[in-house]
Amino acid sequence: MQQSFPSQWPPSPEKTEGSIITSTPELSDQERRNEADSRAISRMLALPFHVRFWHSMQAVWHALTVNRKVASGTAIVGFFLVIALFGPFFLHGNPNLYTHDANLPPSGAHWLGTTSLGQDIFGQLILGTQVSVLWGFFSGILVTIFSLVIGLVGGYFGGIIDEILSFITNVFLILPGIPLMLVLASYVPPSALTVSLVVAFTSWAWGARVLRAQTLSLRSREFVTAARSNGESVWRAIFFEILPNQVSVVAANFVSTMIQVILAFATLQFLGLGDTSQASWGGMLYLANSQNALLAHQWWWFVPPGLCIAVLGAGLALINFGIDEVADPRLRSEPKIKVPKRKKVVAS
Amino acid sequence: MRHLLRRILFYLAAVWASVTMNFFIPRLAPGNPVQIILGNLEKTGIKPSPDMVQSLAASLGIDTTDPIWVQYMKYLGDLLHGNFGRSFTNYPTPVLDIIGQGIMWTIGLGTIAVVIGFVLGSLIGMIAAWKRGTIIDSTLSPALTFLYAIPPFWLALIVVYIFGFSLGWFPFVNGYDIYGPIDWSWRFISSVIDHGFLPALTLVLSSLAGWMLVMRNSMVGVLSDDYVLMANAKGLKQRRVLFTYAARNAILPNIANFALALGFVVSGQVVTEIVFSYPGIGDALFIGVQNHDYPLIQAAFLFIALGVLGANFLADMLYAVLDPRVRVERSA
Amino acid sequence: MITSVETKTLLEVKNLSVDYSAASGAVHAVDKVSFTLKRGEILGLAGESGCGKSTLAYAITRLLRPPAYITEGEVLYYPPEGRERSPMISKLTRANGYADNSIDILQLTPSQLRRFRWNELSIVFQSAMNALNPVLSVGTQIMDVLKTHRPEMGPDQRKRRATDLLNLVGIASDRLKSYPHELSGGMRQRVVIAIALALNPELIVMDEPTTALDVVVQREILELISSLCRELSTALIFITHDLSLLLELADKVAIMYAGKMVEKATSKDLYLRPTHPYSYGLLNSFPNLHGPRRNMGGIPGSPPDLRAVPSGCAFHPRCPMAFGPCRSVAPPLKQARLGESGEDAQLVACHLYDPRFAPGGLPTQDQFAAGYVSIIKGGKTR
Repeated sequence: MQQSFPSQWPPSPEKTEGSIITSTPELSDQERRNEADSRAISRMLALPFHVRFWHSMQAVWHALTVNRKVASGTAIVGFFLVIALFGPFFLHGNPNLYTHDANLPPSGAHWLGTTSLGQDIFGQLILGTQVSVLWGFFSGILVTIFSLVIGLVGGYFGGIIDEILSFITNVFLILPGIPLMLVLASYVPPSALTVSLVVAFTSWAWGARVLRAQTLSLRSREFVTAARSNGESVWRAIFFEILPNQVSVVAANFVSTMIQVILAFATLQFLGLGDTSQASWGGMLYLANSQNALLAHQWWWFVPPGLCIAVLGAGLALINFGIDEVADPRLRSEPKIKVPKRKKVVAS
Repeated sequence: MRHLLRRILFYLAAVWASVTMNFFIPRLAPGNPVQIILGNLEKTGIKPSPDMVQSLAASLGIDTTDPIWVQYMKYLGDLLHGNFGRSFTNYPTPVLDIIGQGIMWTIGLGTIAVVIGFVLGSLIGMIAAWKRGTIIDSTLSPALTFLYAIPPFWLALIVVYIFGFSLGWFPFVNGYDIYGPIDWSWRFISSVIDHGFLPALTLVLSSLAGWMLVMRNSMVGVLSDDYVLMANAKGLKQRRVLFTYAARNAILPNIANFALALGFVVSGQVVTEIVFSYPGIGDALFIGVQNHDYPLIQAAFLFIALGVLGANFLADMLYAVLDPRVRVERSA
Repeated sequence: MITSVETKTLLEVKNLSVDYSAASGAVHAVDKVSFTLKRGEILGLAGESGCGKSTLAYAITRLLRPPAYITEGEVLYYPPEGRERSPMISKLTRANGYADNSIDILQLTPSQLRRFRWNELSIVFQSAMNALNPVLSVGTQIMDVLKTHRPEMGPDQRKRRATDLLNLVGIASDRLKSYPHELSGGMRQRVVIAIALALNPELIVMDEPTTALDVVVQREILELISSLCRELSTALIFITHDLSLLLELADKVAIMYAGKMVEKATSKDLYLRPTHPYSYGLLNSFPNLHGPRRNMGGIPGSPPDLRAVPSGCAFHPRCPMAFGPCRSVAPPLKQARLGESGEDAQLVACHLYDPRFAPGGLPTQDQFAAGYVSIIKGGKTR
């Protein structure tokens, strides 16, 4: 979905920048939390890098399975991944080939019927899964790397570098993605790779902003100053001190980006700007629409691909919410604790 | 005040950036753009006249030996004079005319959809947070998660299928009845409403989840804050606590996001317009893309970008009005 | 039967218990606490962090949030005669079934509670910055309560009253339109106090109102509170971990430990002759400006985890005077000296004052001092 509202609270980085910095002797809750975090992180600093990284990974795994919501999200995404990787091996023949069995409804031979060009829809769906998921993944990684670099560098160095990078980020953030993608796609020959690149070009800004804010807050904490006063080089400081602590933020950001990317990918293909010879979810819908499948009530053609996109997107969103809940415990649904029967509750 | 100036400066800079990007993108495309474009045009059945070839070469700066920055200056000058060139597909109609019509439709549809979506979504989010842990919240949240992930264009297809084809309740192509009168008669106005219903429905549905989720999370955080506790302790009526104390604070991130979301909202609207053939600016952009009508593409994109920037600016100002903490000058 | 007119009792808490339901079982945050409060009296509640004093205050005012639940007890409020009260309160007292016109706050329905709140009982929270709504001006937040509870007041009257309240706490009238973030910490605390006074309540509960402020502002606020309470004869429950404040401000002081009340005395009595070893330790934990130099005291060890409270007397692992029964029997709160009774009697929960267990007479201050010196020197707690 193009409206990738970050499912996040604390407030967006812009708000905290504009908030009032007055010196009051009292510590806000956020500051107290920061201090506690800093102490915890300083303790962790004593551990070697690979141990810390492993701990972060473990935390991510835990976050992915900690409650029902998140676990179901992980299951959905895992399911699609498996199909993307192994599904095509189980196909008979090439679903992209045109045959004469056109416009057939679902049957034993064709589980989801055929297109107006005689292609097996179910087979196309599986191929499409591979294309959409794997290319989506690829774009997602591109975007994450890009936003990581910009966010970390800008947040860490501050000053004029940060001003410039921030400005670029904000401009890209404000420019509407789809129109920009349309314009770019019209100048560039269509293929899965170019579509990926176009999507990556327009989607990195949000992640960069989030990571920059995170880096800014981490940079000013004691453990970074401590590391630098020990003589650690700047790059080491960025990649070995700050980054491991941001793994969960990066993970959440990656998941958000994936949602955006998969949708953008599908949208471009739906509009006919991708490679239409290869099966993909968006491409299938493009063909369905242009072949008037709606008119012909061929719901088995135009419902499954969109459904796949929606379900995969929902799975990713669930994971994201789970990560949010780990980060902000207030969002967690409290497990229902029974009040012990022997003590009656007088009032609450 | 300084805050205001900073924001204005930013938006001016962003405008400049969009304009410049618009200038450079076609010039960066690989290959000989004139040949590519001519080839594409012939594919779509348009035979380019020598006039068109000339103006095409001119608009792409091929025909001059001026250095690039001179071309850039000319380009800026043209823009300021409102000269956006002529559309290829509707030669010799000036692009500005085509865009002018489209803007009205887009703004009309968009404003309604965004306002409804924002209000409805925030209300639902508020209720979901207030009734957290009850059945209302536990059904709303997964339902809306799913809605959030549905691609808008697919949602549009489904809406068209269900309400357009199967039930036949609403028309699903065009912005108005093209066979009817185009004036301020009731027949026209009612056909506008009729035709706008399904696109608006699609837009509201696809954006609802986003507003709702942010509002819900924000509200949950606010409800556990001390001033809400204090409001309850003061014995204020529940409605006042909910709206003036809790929601008024909880909605701030949604408004901050509103500004950013506008870019996404416009993007979503572009796709919806395309599916419904709604005569807005997004549809114009798409038609341009399909027909390789480069002046149209450039102008449409520029206006979309400017529109988004303008709306962002307004939302920023609105945020400053609502959150008094932002009005004070930032330090460091 | 004690009538409210004779002794002017305002609030009577009987056997109040609050549990937190945690995953590992119920945690007793407040354990059968009882005390009374007279009209216009200032009661200080002191203790280390986590001893349950804030929980107790929130329980009395029914502001607890899950997973905290009140599991037993009564909180009886005796509305004083001669005050204009809403007809609702009179209705409550008559219907309550108590012969002495009291209202059990814990039994009020939500709508009754809403109307009761702030009229008779108001609260000052610890962090004023968090207690004030950041998007409303302070004037609006004062007039809020007036609008809700005094519908007969017109907008001008409300504004005048709000201005009067601000002046009462020493803030200029033009600050009515200011937002919380535009005021300093001390001023914000004053605003919260002004809001608390808006409806002339009989009782104010203050939860560490000065903890987050610097000492100079602290003193000003305390003097303000003290003079206002005397002037308006408002009763006050003042919660803090800083015992030194209470000795000056409060009429009576109650010390809490691990959810139980372990001593209650007038502030003078507590200062001159603390009866509970814990109170003695607390008093000697801060240095005096005058008097001979001595080694810094303190109480070795730390308060117990409420999920695993020691058996018998909760203080016994840290107590220099612990003996036999302390490990197994929990001491009840009763008079320290037999023969003393009445309002100002010193109450203590310690076996040292129980003639059945310690027939040898009451412990002296010197014995306390020696006991602490030995465990501090010994560097261990039992």
